[in-house]
Amino acid sequence: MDCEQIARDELVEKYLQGRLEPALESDFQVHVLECPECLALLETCEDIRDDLAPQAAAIEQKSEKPFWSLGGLVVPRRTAALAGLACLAVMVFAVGVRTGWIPGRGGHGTDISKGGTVQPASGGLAAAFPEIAALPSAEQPGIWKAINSGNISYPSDLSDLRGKPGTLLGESPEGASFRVLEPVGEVVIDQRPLLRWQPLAGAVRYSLTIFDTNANPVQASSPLHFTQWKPTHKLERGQVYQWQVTAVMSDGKSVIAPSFPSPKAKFRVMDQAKADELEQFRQAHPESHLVLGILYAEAGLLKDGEHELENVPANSRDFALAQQLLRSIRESR
Amino acid sequence: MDAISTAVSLAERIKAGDSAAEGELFSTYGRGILALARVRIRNFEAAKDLTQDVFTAALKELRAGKLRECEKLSAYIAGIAHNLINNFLKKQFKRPECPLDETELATSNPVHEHESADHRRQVRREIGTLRIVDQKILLWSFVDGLPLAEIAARLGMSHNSVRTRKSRAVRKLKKKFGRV
Repeated sequence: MDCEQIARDELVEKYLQGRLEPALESDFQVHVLECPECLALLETCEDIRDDLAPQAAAIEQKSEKPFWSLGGLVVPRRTAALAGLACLAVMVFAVGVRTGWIPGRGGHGTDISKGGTVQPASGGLAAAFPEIAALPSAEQPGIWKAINSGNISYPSDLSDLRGKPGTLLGESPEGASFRVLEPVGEVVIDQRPLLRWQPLAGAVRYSLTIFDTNANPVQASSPLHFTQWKPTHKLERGQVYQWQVTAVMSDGKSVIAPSFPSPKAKFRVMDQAKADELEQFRQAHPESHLVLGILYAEAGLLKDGEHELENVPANSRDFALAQQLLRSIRESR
Repeated sequence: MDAISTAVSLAERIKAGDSAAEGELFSTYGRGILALARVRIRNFEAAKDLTQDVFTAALKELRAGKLRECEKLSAYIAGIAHNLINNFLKKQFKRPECPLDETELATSNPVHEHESADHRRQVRREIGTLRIVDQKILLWSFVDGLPLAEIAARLGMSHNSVRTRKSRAVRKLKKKFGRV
């Protein structure tokens, strides 16, 4: 093992999380004992972890300081940069059209300006996405709408799965806290989904319980030393579940996540027919990342949808639309 | 003298009863063992005790000349540390009701407490000078354990930008606080 492998494979991060495979862990420990640079790196990363863990929620809520402000109007650095680029692009485009360098119409063929259309705006667009015709006819309008408008229609129960934060009557309780990471407020296709949560500094073990909609426990983990777990038995398709993690601290006290006023961590396991339909389409069109991304997201599989949209190549015709849809999914979370 | 020659010399001198070599063994590996233990155990006092246990076990064997390949001294010490850390974690798992408050009262060192608090304040101040996006990258990477690809997706940035920003932030903090 060498310093390069440690940096490349993020081994310090994995050691911090207790996620290093046993064989690698031994090699890593020997290397740290022999390499002052990697020892200093480990100590620094531990400092970072210990400093950031208690202020996780506060950091996530922070946004960049405004780049420019005038009266009540504040413009973040990133927005200012994007606005600048957009202005430049518009000017270049206007000059291009005026000089005949860029044709006035063309491109994707999407007709967003007409709004509300749920069909391909042109025969060219239908030809650009022939795989959509292979979908059940009930699915097709939603896909065309997303392509035409850049917006995704989510399943109606997604807002129930996400829930709403409660309101505390008084001050919030102080003390250690941590968050569940995924799946939360979304649909999963796997009947044994991977459940992940944030590590809690000082926790000696975790346990996890999955409940049905009547709050009856349906599965519980044995004590865990890692921050992820897969249910040992398959969960029922079509059912909604909620889950919580209990961290036991070294003084024997317990900390539960999610805890009030955070919403409950719920997810739904996709029903069999829909899972089969998506899998069939994926197998037939594995490279159709844009359509797969939309299909997944519209079925509530937000993470899978994001993953597919991220796989749209940057030099592809669909890249700009994929980025727009990605932003739409992330903003909806 | 290179690392292997140093290891061989240390092991042989300890076997010959050189008490200064035992001190050198501790100064060579003590900080590393403590860091490895502290990261996993997340309890400074317990990590300190465990470091002592590692050296007690190692010295017992080294004095008796039981280490046959002296050039593998680092691997030998790391192996003992690895086992003791895992045993500690397993014991904690079996016996969570640990009277920690009492042991902390008995063993905590006010000088160390003060230095440690001061160090934490400096780390917080330095991390506070980073841009919010960099703080988020560090948070999601070191606390949440998210892969860089997922962090890049969350921030709408490229994988390379996230990797560069993270390594620049870590380098800055390491330069400030890391003791090489």
